[in-house]
Amino acid sequence: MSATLPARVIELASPITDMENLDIRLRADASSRQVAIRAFAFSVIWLLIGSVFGLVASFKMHMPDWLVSNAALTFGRVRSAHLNAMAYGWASSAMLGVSVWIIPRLVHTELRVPKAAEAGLYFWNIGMVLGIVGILAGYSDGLEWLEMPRYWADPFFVIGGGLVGLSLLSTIAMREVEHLYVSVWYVMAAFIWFPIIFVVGNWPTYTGVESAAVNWFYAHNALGLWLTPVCLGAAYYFIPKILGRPIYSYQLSLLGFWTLGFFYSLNGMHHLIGGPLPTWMITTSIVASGLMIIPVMAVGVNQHMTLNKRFGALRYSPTLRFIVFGSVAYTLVSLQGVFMAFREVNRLTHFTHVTIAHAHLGLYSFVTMIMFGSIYYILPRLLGREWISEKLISWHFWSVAVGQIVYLTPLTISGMFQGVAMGDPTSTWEQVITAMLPGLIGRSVGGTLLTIGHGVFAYHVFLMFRGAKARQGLPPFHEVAPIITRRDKATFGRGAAT
Amino acid sequence: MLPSSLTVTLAITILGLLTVAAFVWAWRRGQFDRIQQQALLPMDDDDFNVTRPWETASQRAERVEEFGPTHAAATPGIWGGSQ
Repeated sequence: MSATLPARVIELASPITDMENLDIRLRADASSRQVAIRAFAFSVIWLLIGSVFGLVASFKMHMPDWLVSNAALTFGRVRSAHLNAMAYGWASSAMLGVSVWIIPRLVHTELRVPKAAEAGLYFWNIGMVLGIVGILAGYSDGLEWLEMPRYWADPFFVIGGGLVGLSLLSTIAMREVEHLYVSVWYVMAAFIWFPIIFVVGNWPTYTGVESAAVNWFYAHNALGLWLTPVCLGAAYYFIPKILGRPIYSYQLSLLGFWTLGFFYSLNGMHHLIGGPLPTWMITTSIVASGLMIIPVMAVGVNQHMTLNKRFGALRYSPTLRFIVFGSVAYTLVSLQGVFMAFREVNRLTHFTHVTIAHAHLGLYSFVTMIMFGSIYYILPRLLGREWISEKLISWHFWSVAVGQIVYLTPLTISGMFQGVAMGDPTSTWEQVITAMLPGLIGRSVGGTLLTIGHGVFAYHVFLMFRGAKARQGLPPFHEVAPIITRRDKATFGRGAAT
Repeated sequence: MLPSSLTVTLAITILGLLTVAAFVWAWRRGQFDRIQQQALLPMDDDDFNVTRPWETASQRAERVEEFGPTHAAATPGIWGGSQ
């Protein structure tokens, strides 16, 4: 341990010693440990459940007679169960865990009212169980991203998210540092934005066109104002930590955050291009979607320049590998979304599988990959032991990376053919279906690879938990056995930071 | 025409006003001061002083020049485990 903090840190963070700094971090980690462990355990369970539902739904697209005798296993229910299990079960539970772990570290204090956060996590997951059972039993609300029963399940999400938010916002209010790091801004904003959009989206009085408008206001913002900010906050925390250098431009990071806040909530109406809504609403949404180039490029350029000339780090750190993959996907999916919001492009892609591929590029390639990377960093520190197998990590990464390519590429291309065929009045419906078929089969193959990767990851997490009794005195993760190639391990030794 | 757009318009306005209010609060509270130093907030001492195997010789020299001597292996416990 070196004797002093770097001068720049001392200037910012008041004259504390490195031992005090260490003590702060240990207390912060200890305060959030139980909540984060439970959040990750729940998230992995939902990952497996959601994967199975997704795979069944995918196969049903080209094997329509499969599993049709049981109403609970029909496409409409299984597909909704998949979406909700992944978005609210897997991704959101993981995000709750990541949020309660990084915020105390960044504000140099302990997690406040951790019991509330823990209770909130349980409420959230009770809501998940009720919601998925409700969907499978046929009690869907029938609204995209809001299928879970409004009166049975949704109150649990409001209470659960509110309790975790209360804990996090209390922690930020009682912070020991004056400035809020950009990750804190992102996470804090997500926990303020989400209850607003969720309550507005679920309000039971809408009918007709207004219902559709509010539905897409919610559905689009669920990605942009809930999932996106927490994941970008995580990326802005882990990339500098692993590389050992601050982000390339802090100004750009703030520009990205504030422009996301100003522009994103206007975007949702581009899903209703061609619908019976006032033209000004649609056009405003398209313009705001174009303006999203500003935050997207701010994030993309910043993260690329931070990593610039250090891409070799991807071989060493599983966290960095997953998070950089997710960050690149964020840039891609956002730029794709900008173009898909334009009327000329939307005319081709609307109602096609291009939209499905686009959604998976966002929710999987961006959100899920960043959550995987975050868990690879955090879990060893929570459990006090290193990941057990380098091979399992590699299998996990390559299975899901290849799976995404196999999933997304044919689905996007065949979705384009689908759009062209649907726009041709001489095409029969059979010709449209035939044009889609290669993409649908590719999706099932890709989805199978993704599910295998999830199984490997869940097995690895299970092994971690099985021997999870924290062993005092054992330094966690990268000091013990960094994820490092054997050749480099021989030449460099065991001390690499990941 | 108004009823179909009213809820979304109100909701977007509330979100926008909240963001503006937060921006003004941040500005007044000096959250945009000393920008470069804020970038160091997530960093701990050993984040700077541990040698990374992927760094080139010039990058290592740059790290030493900026943050002082480096070491290959982190001291056990310094990252949050045993102490």
